Amino acid sequence: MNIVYHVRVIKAVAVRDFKIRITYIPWIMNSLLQPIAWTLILVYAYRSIMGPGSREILTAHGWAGDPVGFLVLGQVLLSLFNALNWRAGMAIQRERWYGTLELILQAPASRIAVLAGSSLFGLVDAGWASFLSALAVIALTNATFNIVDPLAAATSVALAAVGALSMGVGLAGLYVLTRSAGPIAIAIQHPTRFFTGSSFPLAILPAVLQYVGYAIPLTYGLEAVRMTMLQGAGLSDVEPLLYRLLILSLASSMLGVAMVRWAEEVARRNGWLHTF
Amino acid sequence: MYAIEAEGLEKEYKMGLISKRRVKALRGVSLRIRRGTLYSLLGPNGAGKTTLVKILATLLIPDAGWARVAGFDVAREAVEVRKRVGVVLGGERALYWRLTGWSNLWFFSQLYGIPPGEARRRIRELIELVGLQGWEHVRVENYSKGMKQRLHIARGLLNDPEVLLLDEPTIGLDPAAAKEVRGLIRRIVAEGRTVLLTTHYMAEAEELSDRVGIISGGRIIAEGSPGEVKKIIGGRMVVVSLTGHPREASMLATLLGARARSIDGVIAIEAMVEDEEEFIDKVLGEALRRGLRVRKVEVREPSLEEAFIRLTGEGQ
Repeated sequence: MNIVYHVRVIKAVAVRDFKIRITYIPWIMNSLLQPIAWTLILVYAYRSIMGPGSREILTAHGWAGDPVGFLVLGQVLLSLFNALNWRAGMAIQRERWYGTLELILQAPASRIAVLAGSSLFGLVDAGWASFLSALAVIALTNATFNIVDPLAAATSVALAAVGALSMGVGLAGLYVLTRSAGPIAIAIQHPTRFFTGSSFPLAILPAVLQYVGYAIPLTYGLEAVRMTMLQGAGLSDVEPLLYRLLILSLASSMLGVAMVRWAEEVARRNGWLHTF
Repeated sequence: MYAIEAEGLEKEYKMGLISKRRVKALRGVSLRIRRGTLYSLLGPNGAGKTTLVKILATLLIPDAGWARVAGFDVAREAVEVRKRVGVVLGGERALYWRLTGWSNLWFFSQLYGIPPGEARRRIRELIELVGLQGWEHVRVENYSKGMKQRLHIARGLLNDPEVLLLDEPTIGLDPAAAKEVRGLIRRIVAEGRTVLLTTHYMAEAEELSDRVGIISGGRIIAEGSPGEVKKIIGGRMVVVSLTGHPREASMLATLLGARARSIDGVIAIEAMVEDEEEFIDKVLGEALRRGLRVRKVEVREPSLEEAFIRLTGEGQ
């Protein structure tokens, strides 16, 4: 009975988010066009600076493969994270904006189910936009891929999405603690772009900065996806990356859930639920 | 026997991270509300009404004291309370404006775990109860204030609650919309539910309530049926209508510790007094001395509003 109840809550939240989302057509267009624009900017920046030797330069930094494919995959997964940052991350905060947070928390439904519903919709919403943008950029730039093990590639993409989702859930725990979640969510996007190596090989960064990058689940997902889709790597090649990705994703999700619960308790003690 | 019981509730808010200014919202509130009755909580702004409602709704944890709603402790058995209580916090927000009324109700019905078939039936009933037929598939952003408020009430009733907490449900509504909401509240009580209503509008409380409590400075300072509360303050209301020089009438009022109001050239001298005959004699004597003409003398029971003003010191 409880599981059915939780599933209904997850579904209701996801459907509600969908219904609200489709009333904002400009935002849908934006989520589709922005990744295309960003990727094209990067592709032309690479081409203009590095010229025809960009493939060799990238190979020298440990990434044998098509530079355009490298950028497309980086941008697609980063867009997925950005979308989940705003969907899953802001799931609780958004209720404050609507003025519905107290009513949501006054209902007996599990807060985790509510968060899961928003995250699930975020994944679907960001997923189709990222996928379509990637197809558009591939068509526009003639990016080439080298997939030898489709299962490894699919698994890497799926787990990279899980990594992005877990970061969103983790951030939900942070955002719920502040009334300035919007600016923080914007500010987080750029360091993530930098430290995950979405636009350049992480190897060019000083070692200390690379450590920061490898504390982010998405970094592992990105590397696994690039290895399996650009370099023809198999599942056994990316297994260590995927394990680390899963461990970090689990930790991030658990931290996010714990923080949301703690924040609710603190807010109920201090009377902060209604504030915005 | 009691749908709501509270004993010694205290709540203090700490404001600001650095200054840590403290505001004591409740200072030992005790309350008992019988099942199937409507209890109105009256109080000036900042008296602690909303804090009390939020504690009973499990949205706030009290610093001291305890409260039970529908037989469950609000702090230790919050989930059980949430299943049995409906809350209408009022205001225009707290609804998804981009969704239709139906979609709003459907969403909340699922948060309360109502099976889909039953939820559809319940939503249809509630749409009818609150008179939103024909509007249920229109986006809430197109609703009037009164319609939004009625939708709020329908949402509060979704889980078929034993107890309904209504926090200023008619605030900001025009008289016709407020009358509709009051009619709705009456129907809800007639169904056998317990309603705790907070309001600024004394006439509303007087019209609807079985019992009223007056809260001021975080304490309940008077409680009883509307008639009992009016009796607590003692005395009767005397209104003497005069014509003549307004300045003289105003001085007369000041001299006798009364209030002067001017309506269409007639000055009403009002006072709540223990001995109405003595007061009327004094007014008549002074009026004669000051060249004022007496038009009408009225002696009546004080209204709840007058009792409220006397008890809370508001408007003095």
